[in-house]
Amino acid sequence: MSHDPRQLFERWAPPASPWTEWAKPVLFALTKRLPDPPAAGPQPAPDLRALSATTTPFAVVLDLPGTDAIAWAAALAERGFATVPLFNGAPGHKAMVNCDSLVYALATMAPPASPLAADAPPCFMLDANRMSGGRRPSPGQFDNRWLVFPQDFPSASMLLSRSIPRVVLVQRGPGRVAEDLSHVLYAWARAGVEVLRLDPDGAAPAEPLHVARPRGFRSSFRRFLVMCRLHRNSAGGFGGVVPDVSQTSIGYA
Amino acid sequence: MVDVSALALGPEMSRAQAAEMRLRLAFDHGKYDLHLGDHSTIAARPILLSASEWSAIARDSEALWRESVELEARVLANPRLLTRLGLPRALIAEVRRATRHGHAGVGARFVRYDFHPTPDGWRISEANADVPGGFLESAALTPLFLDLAPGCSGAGDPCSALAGALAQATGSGEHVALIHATAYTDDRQSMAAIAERLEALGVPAMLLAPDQLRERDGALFARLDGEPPARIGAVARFFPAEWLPNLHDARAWRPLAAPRARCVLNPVSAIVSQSKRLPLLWDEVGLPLPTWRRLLPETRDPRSCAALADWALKPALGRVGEAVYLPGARPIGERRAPRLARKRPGHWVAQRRFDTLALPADGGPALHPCVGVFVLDGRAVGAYGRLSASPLIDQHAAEAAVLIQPPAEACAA
Repeated sequence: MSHDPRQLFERWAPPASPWTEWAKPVLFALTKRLPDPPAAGPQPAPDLRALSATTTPFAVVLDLPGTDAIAWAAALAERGFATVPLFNGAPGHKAMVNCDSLVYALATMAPPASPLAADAPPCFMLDANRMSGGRRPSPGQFDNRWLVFPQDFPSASMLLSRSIPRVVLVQRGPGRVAEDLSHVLYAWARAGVEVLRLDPDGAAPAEPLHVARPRGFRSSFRRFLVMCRLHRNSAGGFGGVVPDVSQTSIGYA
Repeated sequence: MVDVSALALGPEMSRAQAAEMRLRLAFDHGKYDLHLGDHSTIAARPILLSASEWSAIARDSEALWRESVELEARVLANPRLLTRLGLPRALIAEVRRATRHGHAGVGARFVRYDFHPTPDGWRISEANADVPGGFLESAALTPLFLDLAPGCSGAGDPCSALAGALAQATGSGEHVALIHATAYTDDRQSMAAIAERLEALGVPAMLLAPDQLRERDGALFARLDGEPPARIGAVARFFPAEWLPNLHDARAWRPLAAPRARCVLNPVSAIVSQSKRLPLLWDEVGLPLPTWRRLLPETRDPRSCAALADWALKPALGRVGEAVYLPGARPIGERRAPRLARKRPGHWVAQRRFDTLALPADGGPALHPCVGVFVLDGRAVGAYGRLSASPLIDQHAAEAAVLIQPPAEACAA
């Protein structure tokens, strides 16, 4: 299978889509060849019936483990949603966040290049493993964890101006909303966008979600602090290799 | 007086052209931060400068660079002055230590001076002397907009100039260390652009966090996973000096303060020129500094301003317009600034406010331009434009290409 990073990006973020400007090109641009197929078999098609009960135009935020998010996005694209990939980590050797399976899924499940309605609602794609389950990087690992910030998404006023008063968060299980995403959802809810949550494994329809005010909401210093946390142990976040001090002959001066 | 006819906004790209530009920026030039909130980070129109106006600000920038080198050397020679620049204590200690050991020399430097057009001529608001950014954007945007502006030329490619200087200082078998905050997309992409150009020059580069450098027997080394230690010949630092003391191990970043590499762009001592409080020392160091005095608005310690009406407040080490406060009928910027400046006046500065010219844009609001001129080792090597709906140029300003228009007689011919 040939791999053209730009062409693949345009399948997921079509130039004509009203939401393409928010899509992140990093993962696509930095993947120079298609990875080998993952050991796991083909992704089962998601069941969207629970989502069908949601009325009025709505946007979707998929915060699911990478390939699940991609399978859901592909299914939503068939229903007329504009997919918006927000994967913001770089692929790399010994990476903390597995990008190979993401890229393979993006390549094999890409929506067909077909016209999109001018009022197509957005479907934002996140990888629930973006922080690597809270694990810390070990020496020699490529730390490619990443976070989302409110400025990675359209504002509430933008959503409302495009007649989207509701957002459905698709998240597995009853667990808490990821800390970084809670800043986005809280800002939307505060500005009058209704936020619902849907468990993709259940049959129940989406239910209203109360998002508590996160710590450090709207603090510009928060961005610095969270990025520093990623940066701890010398390297991290957007592609950096943790130095292997135990094996080096250099040591600390 | 700025010749307003010599400064204009170019035609706006169509929606389709802008979409294509975004794709080319990401996939051909490695620029990924293209959108912030509801706005594009890239202006859809270039800033057009006449050739004569570009020559004038390029000449002034080179003069500012020469004067800065002298000024910084004088301040480093008198460590007492370092305490008046609003610098973190740990950083002062390291700069002093490096100076004592003769490692804080001025050497090679890469600086960006930001020029604003005003009714009274060009003014600069500050020098970005520590980690000037925008070189990737300057190098990437210029060719994309030149395709749409026949007859215009670019002001240079600062990215290639920077890579060339680093390559020149790197010996056979040595690497260039590209030090940055690896968790920041926009920092990573800037360093990756330099790495790509170095690779084209046949010079190996390593993308490293600041504490991945090691010093042994007076030489610098770094290593990546599974590789033998790599000797470093030159360093580009894209990590603000005042953040270094926040790193876990102070010893880890010492090699950046007292570097043993032949070329470090920029050494930690550049923080002296980065401090916006440096003009407060002008009269004490006994240098004439004619270009600085002509272009920089009057600058004072905030304690000496009875009222703020005509003064902008800036933190000594603020970047990208952060925390700047412009008073007036409709104040702009960080409202908490006056309170913070009262609390820690030694870390703030008051700069006489100036009015900037806004350029008319067909079908849209007038935009305030800012032209950053990059100077590498005394020579102007490129320009970085920004356009803002407000007089304050901060992170909300859009990045813009700066194109040089041919002389009128050339057009007529």
